[in-house]
Amino acid sequence: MHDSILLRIFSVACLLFGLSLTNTFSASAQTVQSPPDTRLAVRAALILTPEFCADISKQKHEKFEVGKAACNLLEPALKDVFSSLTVVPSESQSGDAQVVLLPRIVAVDRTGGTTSFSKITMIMQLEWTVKDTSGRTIWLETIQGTAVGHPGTIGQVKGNREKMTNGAMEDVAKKSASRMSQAPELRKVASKLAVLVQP
Amino acid sequence: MPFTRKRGLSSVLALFVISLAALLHASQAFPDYPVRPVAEYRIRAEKADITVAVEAVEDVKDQKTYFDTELTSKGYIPVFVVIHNGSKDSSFIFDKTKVTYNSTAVGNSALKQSSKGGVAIATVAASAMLLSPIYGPAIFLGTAKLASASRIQQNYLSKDLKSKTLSPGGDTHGFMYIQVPKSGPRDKINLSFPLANTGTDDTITVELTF
Repeated sequence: MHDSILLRIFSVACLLFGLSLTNTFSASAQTVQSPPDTRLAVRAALILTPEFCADISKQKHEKFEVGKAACNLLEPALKDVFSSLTVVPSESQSGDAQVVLLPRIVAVDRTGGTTSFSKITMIMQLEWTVKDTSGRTIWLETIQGTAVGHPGTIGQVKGNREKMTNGAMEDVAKKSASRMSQAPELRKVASKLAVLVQP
Repeated sequence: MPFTRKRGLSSVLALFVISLAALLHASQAFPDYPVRPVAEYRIRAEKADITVAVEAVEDVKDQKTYFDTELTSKGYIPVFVVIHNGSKDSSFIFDKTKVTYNSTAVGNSALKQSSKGGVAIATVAASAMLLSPIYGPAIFLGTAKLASASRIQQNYLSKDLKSKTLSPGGDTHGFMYIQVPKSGPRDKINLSFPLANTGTDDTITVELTF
C-alpha cells in the first residue's frame, strides 16, 4: 500500500521532470530586435583569422570550440546588415572594404551540472571592433549571448556541448546583427559614403 | 524483502527531491543592481559631455545580495560605474581595458604631492590593478560552495562593465572589482576613464577619487 503510493508519487514527479526538460536547448530569451529593415550602404569585410576560428575555450575538463562556432555563424547573421560582406582571413586582405569588422571572444563560461538533467547555462561575450579605412575605431561593442541546456547522458555529452556552444554563439550573432544595423555611428559612416558617391 | 524495496524507492525519491531542489537553486537569478540617472550619484565627475559616476558597494549585506559572496573579506570591493554621454551629436568609445587605477592615501604622512587636477594624490600601490572579471571571480570564490560557484562566476560576467560605444545621449553601467585590504580602512581609490570621440579622435579622461 505504502509502496504503491510512493511509486505513484515518483511516477508523477518523473513525468513533471520530463516535461520540464522538453525545451532542452534554448537560446537566450532576452529580447532581440527584429532583423534590420534597411541594409547599411557600406562594403564590409569580416576578419576571421585562422587563429580566431581555431579558438578553443577550455573550462574544467571540457573544451568548447567557440572559434569554429563563430566562423560558421557570424557571416550568415551579418550578411544582411551591410550592402556587401566579404570574409577575409586578415585585415590586410580587406581589399576595397570601407569598414572592417574584428570580432574577439572575451569570455566563455558554463555553469556545471551535477546530474545529466541539471540545467546548465552557457554565457559567451564577444567584442566587436569596427574600423574605417584609416584604421580608426568607429564602433566598439561587447555582445553577450546565452544558451540553456542539460549535460545529457554519457553518450550525449559531446553533442550537447556543441549544441550549447552553437546556441550561445547564434545568440551573439543575432544580437550583433541587430546592434550593428541600429548603431548610429555605422549609419553615419554609411551616410557619409553615400554623399561621397553621389555625382 | 518488501522492506528493502520500500527503502530503495524512498532513497530514489529522496535523491530526486534533492536534485530538484538543486535545480531550483541553480535557476535562481541574482538581482540586478539598481541603476539611477547619473546626476543622482554622490560621487561623480563631468568633463565636456561625459559624466562618470561610481558607487562602491562596501556593505557586505549588499555584496551577498548582488554577488552571493562577501567580497571585502576576500580583498575586493565591487564598484558600480555609470557613464553618460550628454553630447547631442558626438559618440564616444569606452574601452574598459584603458581604465587605469591608483590606490591613494590622502592624509598619509608619506603622501607625495601631485598637481594632478589640483588634488593631492599619492600612489601607494603601483602593483594594484583592476581585475579582469574573467580571472577575478575565480579568486573571489575561493572555497565557495562548488555547486553554485559557476553560477556566481556567470553573475560576475553579466554584471561586469563592458566596452561599448556611447551614442549621443547614451549610457552604460556595470561593475569593476577593485583590490583593497581584507581588513581595516581602505585607501582612497582613483580611477581614470578615457573616452575617445569617434569623430575627432580626441580623448576625454574623467577622473574620480573616492
